Amino acid sequence: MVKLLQLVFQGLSLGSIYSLIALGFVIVFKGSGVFNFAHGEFVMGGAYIVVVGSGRLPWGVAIGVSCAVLVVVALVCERFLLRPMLGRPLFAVIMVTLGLSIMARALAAMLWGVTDRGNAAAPIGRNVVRIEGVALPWVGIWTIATAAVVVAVLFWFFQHTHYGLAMRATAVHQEAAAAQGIDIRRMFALSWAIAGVLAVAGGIFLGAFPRQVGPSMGFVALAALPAIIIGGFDSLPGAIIGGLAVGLMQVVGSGYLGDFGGGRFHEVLPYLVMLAVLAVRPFGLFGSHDVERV
Amino acid sequence: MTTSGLIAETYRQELALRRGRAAHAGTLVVVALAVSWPLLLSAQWQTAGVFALIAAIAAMGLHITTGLAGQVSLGHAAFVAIGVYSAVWMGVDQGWAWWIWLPASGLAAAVVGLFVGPFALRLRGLYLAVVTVALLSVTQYVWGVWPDLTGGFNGRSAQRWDVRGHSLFSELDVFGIITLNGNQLFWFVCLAILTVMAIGARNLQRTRPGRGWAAIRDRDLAAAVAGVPITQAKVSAFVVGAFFGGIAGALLAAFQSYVVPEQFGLDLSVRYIAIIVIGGLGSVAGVIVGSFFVTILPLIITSLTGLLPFISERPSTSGGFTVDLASAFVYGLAIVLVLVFEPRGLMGLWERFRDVWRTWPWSR
Amino acid sequence: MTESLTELPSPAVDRSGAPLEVRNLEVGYSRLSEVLRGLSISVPRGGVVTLLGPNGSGKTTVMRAIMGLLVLHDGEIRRGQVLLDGADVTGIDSGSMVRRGVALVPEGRQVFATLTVEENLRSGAHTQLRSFGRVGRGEVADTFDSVLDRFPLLADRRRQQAGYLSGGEQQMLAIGRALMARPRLLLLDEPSLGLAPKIVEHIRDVIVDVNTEGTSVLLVEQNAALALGIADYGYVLESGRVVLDGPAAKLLANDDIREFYLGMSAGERTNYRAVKHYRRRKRWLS
Repeated sequence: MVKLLQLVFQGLSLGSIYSLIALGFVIVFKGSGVFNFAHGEFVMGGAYIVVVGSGRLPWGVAIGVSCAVLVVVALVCERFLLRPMLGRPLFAVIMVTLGLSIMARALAAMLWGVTDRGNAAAPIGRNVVRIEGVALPWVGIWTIATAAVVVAVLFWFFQHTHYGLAMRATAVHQEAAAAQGIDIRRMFALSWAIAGVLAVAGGIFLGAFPRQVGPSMGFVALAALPAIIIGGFDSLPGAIIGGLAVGLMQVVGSGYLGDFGGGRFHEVLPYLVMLAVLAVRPFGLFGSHDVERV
Repeated sequence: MTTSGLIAETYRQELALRRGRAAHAGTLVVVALAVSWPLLLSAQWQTAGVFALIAAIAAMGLHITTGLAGQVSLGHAAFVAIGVYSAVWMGVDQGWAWWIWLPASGLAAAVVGLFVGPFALRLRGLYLAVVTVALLSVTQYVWGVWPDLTGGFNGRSAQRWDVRGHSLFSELDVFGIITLNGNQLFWFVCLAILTVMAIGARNLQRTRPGRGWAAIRDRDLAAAVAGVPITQAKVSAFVVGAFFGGIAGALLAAFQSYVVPEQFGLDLSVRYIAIIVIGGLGSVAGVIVGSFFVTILPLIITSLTGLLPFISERPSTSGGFTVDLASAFVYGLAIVLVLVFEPRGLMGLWERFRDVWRTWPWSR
Repeated sequence: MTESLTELPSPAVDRSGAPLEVRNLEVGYSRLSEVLRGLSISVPRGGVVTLLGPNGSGKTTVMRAIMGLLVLHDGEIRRGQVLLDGADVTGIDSGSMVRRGVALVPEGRQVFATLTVEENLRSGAHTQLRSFGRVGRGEVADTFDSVLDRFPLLADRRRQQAGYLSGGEQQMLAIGRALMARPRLLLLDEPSLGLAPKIVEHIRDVIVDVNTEGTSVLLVEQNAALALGIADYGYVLESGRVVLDGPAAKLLANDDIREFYLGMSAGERTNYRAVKHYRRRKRWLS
């Protein structure tokens, strides 16, 4: 029982990270119609800047710098790479973001080398809290708490501010939104900027103990893909639920199915579940049908 | 009266693959280049050339699945891997001859393609793309937990290719005129296979199934209404594409002689997509051009290291430009630039040039 | 539907209708096609003007060109001017147009299906809110209340998702959303499309009301009888050009209009010459 609770907690903790990453993907997709395959590299970049920055600056300031840099990078990408691609077929847009991710990975290795760089959430430390014999690492608590706060802020933003409403309107129908005087280009940019901040949040905890910040982080972030599919591409609640589900599957799976299927079954389990979900609901659990702008 | 090459005057001309004197001259030039490449360039370039040919075969398959039929597939590397490991199993473990393992690898991949195809029936666009990534990950997992076949993490050695007792890696004396080394032999063999498959792909475009693919790429609902058999078309797109991938995999196994499962991941799939995009979607020649561009790029950058002092040879732990990283960066940049500025790729650039040339002085 | 000409009202003190003038507009899409070929229309201050014409004549393109929405469809204004209250607003973005007091009720309604009725209305007031505000502040709240007064059906369904409303209710919502911007010029693109006659009457009354309060109206319609019943002046478009225009009463009495748009034939066609004559007339000037 203790083991189960511990695994569930770890699963939720990892799942929170996947949720943050998945939210980044989904917000960009809903807000600007682009699926940014390079988001994993944004996450990696955010983590790197925090780790490298916290060598010389206080940790909080390093986080702020990282957010600022990621927002600028996201806005530049949106403005100069994706906006000219407006109206082009989906395939071409996917490829641009893939090209971007290749460039970003090479750039990161050029700037910071190819070895791992350490813990992005070092100030939190490695201590654990013990409740009834269940060990809850502080990192995990912070991860879940941060994710919860971020989700709450996003919810408030989208439901109760007029910019959030404008973004939602743009996501539903771009032309009608423009007819109301909404500057849809600004809405695109805003969605990318939000994704940039989410990338930093996800990156910090992805690169925290027991993991490290390293050049392969982009691939780990790709594990958020099944989360997005399970939840549905254009659903924010779906991204959160999908992320938590994938995290739980991976951790609880590795705990109980450790010997099954060669010891790595838990890695492939989310993908199998994803295929199963798609077999029943081809647009994910919460996705809507007109995902493509035909 | 001479034909300008723009108009077909007989039905035979209409059907021909190349039209006009300029086009035939162009073909001769290409043939000359193809024959002379391995003979005139150094070993490094010969090796790169063979890799480029093999990549072209694989990318040709992706061209059919994604470029022709519009089924976005980011999992093409899986088919290549299946080709590799089928060839290895048949060639090394079972010891069968090349004329068995080569086509059979293609067939093995095609059979797997048969199972992937149905996904395309229910899913479209982005969902299909991500599902193909998932299927690729599943195959990666399978290779990882099947060390008998793949050698696990560390990989295993692959076969030597023996034709009538003569290994393709050793030298061959051709009619006493010249001696070809292993790389050069491989080049010509792969060139032959590529030529056959490329002509096949080109002709497929013009047959009924080929037109069916083009229809489902553009608007599959309308195609269905017009009578195109959607199920067969979508599944066959994957099957044929997979076959090409499998053949490429078998060739890769023979040439590389040591294969590691890690090399058949998302990076490789992206590389194939980059090839067809940079070369120019919808064009068989584009696939070949793109393949050479992508494969030769690191070599070009290496030769430029003499000129650019800040690019060093080996990766370091603290950063700095290296050949690998610089070529990766340029590779990504090329993809982005081509897509943003010239959506029809290198062939598109060539076509623009050619149109200006043809219609001069009335070109704008 | 034989209501006489609406009298031009004296505009309300705080919100006078804006006059619109379009001069020689040439518009095309994708750098290829030519949809509007030198179009000129004008809407007087506080007046109601209608644009009639068959499908494909360019009516929606006129609306898009005025509102600055062409860029979303890869279209462009190649020549000509759009003047709002004397100021040149040719090709400016839709946000600026809305701030200058022009609002569009798009063809097919285009409500935000997954947002609630209330959220749809709030989105119409986007340009009125200066910062992170909510409905409940000052003028926007007043406008919101007045829109709900005008459309009691919407008030009942405030929290429902707009996608679940019927066609007529969605049309009310689209008009209400446009009114949230307190427009001086209201553009309506085929508001009666696909609606039952009773609802069309209700919408007609709404348009007349809005105009009575001072807002100028430009109404694109295929239902000529409805449009000419409300309008002061009308233009007939075919293939991107105005082929006929005049006061609404005169258009209503015009033989060709009666035959081709109102379905009242001028007489029996008894011989082949009469059929040829009909066909020739039908081709208009385009």
